[in-house]
Amino acid sequence: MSVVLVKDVHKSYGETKVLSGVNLSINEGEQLVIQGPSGSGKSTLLYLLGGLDQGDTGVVKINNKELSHLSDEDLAKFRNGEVGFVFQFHFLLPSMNCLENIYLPAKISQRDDDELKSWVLDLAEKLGVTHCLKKYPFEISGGEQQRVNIIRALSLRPRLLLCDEPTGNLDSNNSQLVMKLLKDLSKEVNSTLIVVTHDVKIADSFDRKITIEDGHIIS
Amino acid sequence: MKLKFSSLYGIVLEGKSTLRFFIGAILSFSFSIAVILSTIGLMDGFEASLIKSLKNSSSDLVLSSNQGFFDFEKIEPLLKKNKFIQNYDPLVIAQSFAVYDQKSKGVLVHGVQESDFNKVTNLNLKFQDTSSIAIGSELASFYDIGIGDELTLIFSSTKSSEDGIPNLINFKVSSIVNHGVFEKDLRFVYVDKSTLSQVLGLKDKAVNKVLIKTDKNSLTQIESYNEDLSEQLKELSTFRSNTFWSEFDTLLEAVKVEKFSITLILQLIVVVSVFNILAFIIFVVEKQAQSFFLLSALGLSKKLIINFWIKLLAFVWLISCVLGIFLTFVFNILLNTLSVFQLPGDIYVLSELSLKLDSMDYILVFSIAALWIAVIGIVCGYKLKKKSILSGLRQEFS
Repeated sequence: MSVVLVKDVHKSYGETKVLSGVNLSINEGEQLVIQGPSGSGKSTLLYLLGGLDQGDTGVVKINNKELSHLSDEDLAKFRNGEVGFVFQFHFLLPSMNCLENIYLPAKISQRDDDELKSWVLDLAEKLGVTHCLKKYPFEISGGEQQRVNIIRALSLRPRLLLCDEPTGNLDSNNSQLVMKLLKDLSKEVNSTLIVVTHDVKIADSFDRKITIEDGHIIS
Repeated sequence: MKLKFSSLYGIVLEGKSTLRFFIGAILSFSFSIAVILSTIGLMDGFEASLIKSLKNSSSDLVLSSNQGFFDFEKIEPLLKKNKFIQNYDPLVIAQSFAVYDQKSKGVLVHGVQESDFNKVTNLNLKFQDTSSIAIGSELASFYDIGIGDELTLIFSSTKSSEDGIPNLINFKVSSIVNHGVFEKDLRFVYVDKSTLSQVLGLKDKAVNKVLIKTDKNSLTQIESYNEDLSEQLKELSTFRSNTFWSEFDTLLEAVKVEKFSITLILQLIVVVSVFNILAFIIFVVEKQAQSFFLLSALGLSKKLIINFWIKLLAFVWLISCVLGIFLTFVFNILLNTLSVFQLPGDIYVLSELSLKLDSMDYILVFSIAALWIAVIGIVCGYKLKKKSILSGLRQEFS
């Protein structure tokens, strides 16, 4: 059953065409990578899927919801409850400790249950960052920060896990480790994993690969 | 779990420079509120102090004649007929020079009947005998004299054979009075009426002014009594009645007009401080854009973020108003205690004054401040709403 459906999506920023008639279908629980050179439109496609932006024309449906028909409030709810984002930069708020950063999506949706807390602690243990939870982002390493970021993205068990160059800021050892964790954990929560990368090694570790060039899916 | 206002507040004020900027913006806004409140307070205080001082040193109504001196018996039945007149004191007023230690000053000598005069004013004069006088406090300090000292008053001689020859009479100072009005304190001298009448060669019932105390204190009521009495005096053609503040009417009117125009001009100060707040918001929005766009990506709706900004601006407004009141209070204390704040009485009529602010003044100033804050809120809200999450994220990552 297809969880993501993209039909003839076009997107331009001013005069620059970024996506030109993109069509894509992704099944529930599937793991795939979107690759392509810089400026090819892969990140734009990812953000369209996450409801962070909207296409000029075409249809983007996630779990049968057409995103362009959602109000600002509903789109915010969608991002909070159904999507987990992992960005290239760890993007943790410096005024909060790691645990508070992890709980941000839960705080936004006002969730406060024991199941959530035990799930977060379980994830922290699996990712080896239990000792970082009470620390502030500047007190831990880049690899640890990215793992905290992953816990935050998975904390509400999203159906869609969107990763934009998740290993772009890490060394090769940490890259492999983070990628493995992302795959394992998305399987565990039955999330659909979509990773954008230009790292060939990372791309090769996925069964399904989509290549974008000049706004078109070429393979 | 709930994303608290304090968490977002913590994100906004993250970093010492931001906190300092925030405090600076609030201080400048509260200072501008305090400046406007103090100015309005000074204007209102001036008006209230002047009226209070005038009332203390005079009666409610002042009756005089176009022909100068008149026979009091002509007017007394009319005064007795009016029930609203509680007390009256017929006066003899004459110009004179006061001389002491080779210094002289032009003064207005008031011949009064001590007990009647004290009933119509709040001055509480005390004459030891018919050759004693009471003088204003500024005159006493001008000559550096006190109770018991002798002061010479010079009148023009009333005898035709001595025309042009001054008549010098020594009086003992028996009391020093404070009118609260600089010119009165400097120029007014009080002496027993019969003594002055004798010096001026006047008949016993000849007077040139009558002070009248009514049964009401409100200015509106006194104004209405004045109209009533003026109407009755039309029959006697040469007489006229005036309220105690009438000679300062133009000044009081000028203060009112000035209050309005100064309030408008002082909006410039508010605009400058509003720009400080706007600069702070732009600074925070730019500096913390990453955090706010992250929160949006995590599911915080723009509506909630805009709500937060509205609350933050309301907080800035509230704190600024409270601080503004505090600064105004401090200014009022300084105004009353520090000599540097004392007014030059010869220019400002009053030698000292306090701020007077009523609820309407606060409502006016705080509403204008709220209006400015609302303008900022609308501008910021529009800018935030216009910016897409992705452009925010991209801008921050680039």
